[in-house]
Amino acid sequence: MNVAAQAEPLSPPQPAAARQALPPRRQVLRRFAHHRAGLVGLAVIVALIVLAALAESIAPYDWRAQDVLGRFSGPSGKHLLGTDELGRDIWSRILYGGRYSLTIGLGGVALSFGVGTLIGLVAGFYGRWVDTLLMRIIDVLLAFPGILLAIALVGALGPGLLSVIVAIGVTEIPGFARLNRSMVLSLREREFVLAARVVGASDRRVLGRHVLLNLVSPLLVFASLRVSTAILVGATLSFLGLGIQPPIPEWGAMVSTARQYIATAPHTFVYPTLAIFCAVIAFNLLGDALRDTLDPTLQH
Amino acid sequence: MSQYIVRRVVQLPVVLFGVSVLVFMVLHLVPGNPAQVIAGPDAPPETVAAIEHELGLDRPLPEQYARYLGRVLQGDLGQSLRSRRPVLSDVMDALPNTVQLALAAVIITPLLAIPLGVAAAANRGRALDTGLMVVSMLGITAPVFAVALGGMWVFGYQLRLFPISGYGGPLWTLDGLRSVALPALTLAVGAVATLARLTRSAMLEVLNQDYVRTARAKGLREQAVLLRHALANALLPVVTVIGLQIGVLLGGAFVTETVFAWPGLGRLAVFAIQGRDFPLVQGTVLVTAVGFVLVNLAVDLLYAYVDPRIHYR
Repeated sequence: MNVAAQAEPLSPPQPAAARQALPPRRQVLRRFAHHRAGLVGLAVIVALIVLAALAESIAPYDWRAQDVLGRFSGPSGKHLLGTDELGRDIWSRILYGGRYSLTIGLGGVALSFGVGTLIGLVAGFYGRWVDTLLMRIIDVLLAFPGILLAIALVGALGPGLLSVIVAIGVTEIPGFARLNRSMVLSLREREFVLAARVVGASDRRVLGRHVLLNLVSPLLVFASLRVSTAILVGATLSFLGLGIQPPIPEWGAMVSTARQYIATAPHTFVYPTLAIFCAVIAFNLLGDALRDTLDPTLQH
Repeated sequence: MSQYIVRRVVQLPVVLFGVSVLVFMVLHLVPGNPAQVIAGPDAPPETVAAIEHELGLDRPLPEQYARYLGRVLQGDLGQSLRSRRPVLSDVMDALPNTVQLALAAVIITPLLAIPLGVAAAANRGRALDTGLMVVSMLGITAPVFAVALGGMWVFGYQLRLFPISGYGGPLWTLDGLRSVALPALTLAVGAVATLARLTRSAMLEVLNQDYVRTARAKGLREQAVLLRHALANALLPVVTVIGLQIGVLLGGAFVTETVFAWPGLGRLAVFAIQGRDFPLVQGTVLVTAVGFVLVNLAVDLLYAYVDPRIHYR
């Protein structure tokens, strides 16, 4: 018997120990793979993106093509979801409109994610007057209820995709800023940050390396939930005639035109609304699934 | 706790100042010369210059803001470009209607949400619970305009129960109540869904407690257990959220008022923006934001008074 064999403790094969040996990233992926609702959400989102990207190729009709004689027809073999008030194919218009909803949702959140994270990190990390100043600005943004800020910004910047993205992005900044700030505040005092400082790491290194990595999970959860809000606000802005204007088939704009015909041709209202619903629920499911899998210790 | 109150009250003027600056900037965010926008693309340069001078747009920016603030504090919010009436009177005409709508929604929300939440908790895992949870998920994610139009179609056109637009009169009249029903219900949907879910989980938590088990062991009927012992304790977090929902309700009012042609502040704001009526836009946005801040502050202070456990850094 050599020394090495004696040094190793004898133990029966442990299946549990083998399971624990999986790297954390794989564990998270496995948990996600078992989360049925989350998989459904992810599948729907992927489908939406693919359909929107390939809209021009797979749509049976051009979204502008009118057939005034065939207007208001219900779902049929010729038109999958029927036609609208100008005889345009609703299914093709929904496919094309998906581009706008997705761009607004993802673009708006990307903007608020970037700016809000920066503000929150700086405020939480440096503290004192920087924190106070930045948080007062955030309070001013929060003084506007719901979509008022978005409405005012789009009103000032004029209709169009970019103004909608900017308006929604600015409205969502406070959420990201506050989340980042509170996480940084709690992380700041944790041991590994103090240890890094003791060793002499610069501010930037501490922020970038140690703090940032721990923020990613809650940020991802929050971001995916905000995408669904952004899509809703974008559709609402178009509905009010302030965002994307007809004839562009943004789903909210489609509902706005359908409003006058709701008693006689409800299908023109129902299908764009369902499209909005699908997108919003899909991102909500994804967000919930991310929250459950990335931090199962969270009680909600 | 009083430190919290003091801090909140001291922050108030700072936030209001920031709000006024942001609202003032709205006019200047417009691409191009604001006077040109107001005059129209075909106006001769002299007209544009005249409008510039009239609106004081040729002065430096901080001076413009100071004049704006001075006028606002004296109650002069400018003149609507379309109606030619003082913005303040348009706003004051619209404000009571929005308040009535919000009040109706705030009253309806707990009346609907709490019984639904209790019912769901009491029937946990069964059909009623699952059904209510699915419906509430729809209520939370549904866009307000879809709920408004859907409600309008079902209750207005098909069932002809309620009028679908317009203001029927103050809340204490029957016509007023009938006309506020659909808009208030639409506004309340999201809040009811959220509150019902919250009531359900609060009740479920309470129902697991020992004192509930004791009550059951004593042989009390399930109804008495639910209502007398569990509900009161479950209500505390619920009451907290009701205050937060007021903000959500105010936010949803824009779409609801527009769809139902309810002559309130929200619809006025949307009309103003659609019509590029900048003084009216500034006036409505300013009043709405200030009102929102004050209402939130009142709610927060009330909660700080009621629940002394609340304290922030």
